[in-house]
Amino acid sequence: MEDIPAVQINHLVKEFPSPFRKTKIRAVDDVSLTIMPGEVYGLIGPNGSGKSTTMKALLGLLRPTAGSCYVFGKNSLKTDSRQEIGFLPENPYFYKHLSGEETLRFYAKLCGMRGKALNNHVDKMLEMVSLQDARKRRVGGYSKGMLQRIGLAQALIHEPRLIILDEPTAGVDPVGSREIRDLIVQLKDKGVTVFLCSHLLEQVQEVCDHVGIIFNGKIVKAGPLEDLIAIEDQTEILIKDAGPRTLARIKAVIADSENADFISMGKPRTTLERLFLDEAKKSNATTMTADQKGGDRA
Amino acid sequence: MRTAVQIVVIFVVLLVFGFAKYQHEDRLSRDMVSHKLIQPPLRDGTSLQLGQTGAAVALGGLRSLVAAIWNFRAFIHFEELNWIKVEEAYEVTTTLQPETTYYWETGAWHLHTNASSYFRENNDLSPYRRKSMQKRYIEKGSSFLELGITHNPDNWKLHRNLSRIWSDHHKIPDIKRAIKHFDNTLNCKSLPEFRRAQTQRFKYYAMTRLDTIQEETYRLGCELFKASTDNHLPKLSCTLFALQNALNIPQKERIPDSELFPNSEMQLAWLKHYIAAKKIGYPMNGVDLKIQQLETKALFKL
Amino acid sequence: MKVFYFLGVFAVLMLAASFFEMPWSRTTEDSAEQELIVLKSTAMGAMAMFSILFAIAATALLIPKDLEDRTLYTILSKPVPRLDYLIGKLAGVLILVTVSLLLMNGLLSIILHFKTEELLLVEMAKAEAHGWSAEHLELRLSAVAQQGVTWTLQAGIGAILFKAMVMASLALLISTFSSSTLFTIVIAVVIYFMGHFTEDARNYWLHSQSGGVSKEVKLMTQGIALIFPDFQLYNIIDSTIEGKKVPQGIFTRLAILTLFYSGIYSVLAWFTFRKKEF
Repeated sequence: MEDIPAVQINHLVKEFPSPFRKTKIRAVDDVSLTIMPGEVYGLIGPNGSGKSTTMKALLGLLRPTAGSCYVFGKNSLKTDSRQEIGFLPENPYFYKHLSGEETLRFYAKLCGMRGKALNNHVDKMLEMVSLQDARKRRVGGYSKGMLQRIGLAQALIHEPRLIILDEPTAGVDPVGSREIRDLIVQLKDKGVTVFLCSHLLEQVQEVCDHVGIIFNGKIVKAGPLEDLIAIEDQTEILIKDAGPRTLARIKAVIADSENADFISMGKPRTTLERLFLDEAKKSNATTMTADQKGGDRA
Repeated sequence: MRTAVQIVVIFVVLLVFGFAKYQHEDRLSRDMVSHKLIQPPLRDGTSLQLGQTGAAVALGGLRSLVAAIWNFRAFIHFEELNWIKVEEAYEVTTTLQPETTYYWETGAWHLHTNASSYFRENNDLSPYRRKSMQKRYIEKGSSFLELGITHNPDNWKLHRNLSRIWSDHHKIPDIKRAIKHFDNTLNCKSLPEFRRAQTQRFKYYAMTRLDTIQEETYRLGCELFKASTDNHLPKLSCTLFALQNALNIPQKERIPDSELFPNSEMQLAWLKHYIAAKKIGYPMNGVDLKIQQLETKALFKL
Repeated sequence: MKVFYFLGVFAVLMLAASFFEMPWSRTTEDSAEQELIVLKSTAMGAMAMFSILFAIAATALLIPKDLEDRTLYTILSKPVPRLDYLIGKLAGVLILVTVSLLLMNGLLSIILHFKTEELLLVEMAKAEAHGWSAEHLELRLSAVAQQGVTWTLQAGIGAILFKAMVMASLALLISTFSSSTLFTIVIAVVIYFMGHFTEDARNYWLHSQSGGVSKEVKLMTQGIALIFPDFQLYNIIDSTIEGKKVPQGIFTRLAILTLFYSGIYSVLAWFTFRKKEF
């Protein structure tokens, strides 16, 4: 069973009629890609490169001009192919007057769930995205990060085997962004296939194990992340508490060798994201202890 | 391109289904017209009215409200004595609700009574003009009711209103015309039974004012008198009494005074009251003389 | 939410209308009926206007709003057939219209009932004062009661709902291929007005005797009669306000016609929406 690809896109072409001109705009040009079950695939590219169009074709929201899309072997133009898909669009909005819980119940019902199973799933999802406290609040009052999380919960409500995320962290602050990233990692651990679109390269690098790069509707590079980003002819060494003498000796050893060249040496820098997150965690911890509160917040 | 194709397909489908539906619609529409639920469609040559009718038709559900608002407006114009606007407002009102008797009656009343007496009493006008304007507005009220009758042929109230206009001695009576309308009222199927006798009496009273048809009038009077004791009313008795004198009916054939009147005191009272309305044009033959006799007799009794 | 504000306005309107009195007139004796008719007309006019406007505007907004908020993506990416989506949206609008009409109907019935009772008492007092015959009083009472709460009135409210149903499905159809909400609303309103002349067009085509009509005119009237729904048929609303009885057969046939119209429009809406791209 596991040899059926979760996603198979064959020579997908999508053209849009352009107003006032005879020629059509080709948004996606002969894209083929395969995602095997359990993989986390990141499709990266600049705005307008055809990422969203590819996703919409995979969801059956657009009809391919040529080529085809399959989800676990089912043609994406058929309604039942959506049984296996959860989708989180970019900047989702939900019916403002519904509470978070009602929103999830609505989507669960759309997936054909009823009764006890529905209630269980809604509770589980709210817990997973840490929105139990906000379950009775109207979605209209949610912050961007909360919207994104309820969006993720709605995408996962029917336990799909494939989840498609379009710019899942766009406009979300680093803390929220991290939470979403953690959720993606959790999903990966559960064996859910993830198809992620983003232009935030760092993020893709952190979670994806396969990557495709799309430019002007064409996939220009694709493959396992490790293979793509490794610089084959360089080696990085990290040393703790090394004195000047040790460093000088290392330099000398490199200089002595026949074909190795010394390139650079310096203090490794933490990423700004990591720095921000560390500081946020620290300040959170101090306020928590000051307030003598139980740290039950994730 | 796609959209254009889709629209063509939609039109074709609608056309095809149009053929399936139009006869059903036609039959339903005609059934509704025959039940007077909707107004009959425009006839050939009435396209001039299209604007008005069209507006009325598209109001769907608001028609009577708009009519009521126009009726209210008419009332304001009436208070301002702006008779042209009153007339216009009632034209709109009745276009919107042609089957509501109330609007025809009220509209006509404003014209034939309020407007006409306004002109009759307007001292700024020359006597000739006063008279002609009074007449004109009575005619207007009358034709407004006639128009109402074309929409509601069997409405006895509208017919009765017409007969009232033309027999009203405060206006400009036209007894022949009034009699015609009384007959129309009596011919209405909608006329309730309890109104029939009254209408017949009114017709008879109008007839008594025409001295050219006194024989016919007398026959009707006798008929009414014999038909029911409900008809034994002062005016009926007094007119019969006068008509018998006018026509010189032989004593044997007459209805004796003892039958016509409850007693001689009542006869005197009724006749005195009756003679006071002399100027309306009722026959007065022998009434004066009888009053004198009765008064003398009463004097002797004392 | 805004629907409830409207219901509030409706309640105020109803109370105001119940205090309305016809301008005094000497010649007429049936102003009591007219007062009831004005009350009913105010209520049912407001109901008709609300339901038509709501049916057009709300339906026209449905799909564009979902698309703008990307809610549509989340819904259609679930295993939901597009027909279900459309029917669901339409049903939502219709349920809201129905519930609002029921509430307004309830309020109207209550106020109308009390007003009728009041006017019946006035008639009885008049009868006493003027010494009417029993027959006369009977006639007056039944004339007033006929303008009170009756099944006929319910048939009129039914017709309002039917008309809203047709308009909603029509607006849905237009919105599946129109690119803007404004366009949908404008076209729907135009069709609404045209639909009131369908009957005249059909009559011209079927029953016109005059020979001097050009072929083009004939063809045009035929086209109008075939394509547009006949909204004149729903004008029995006005007759029910005036207290005329609607035979059950006619009401049933109107209901069937309504289902026919909405059915066709919904199927056509699905036809365009089926392969629509977002």
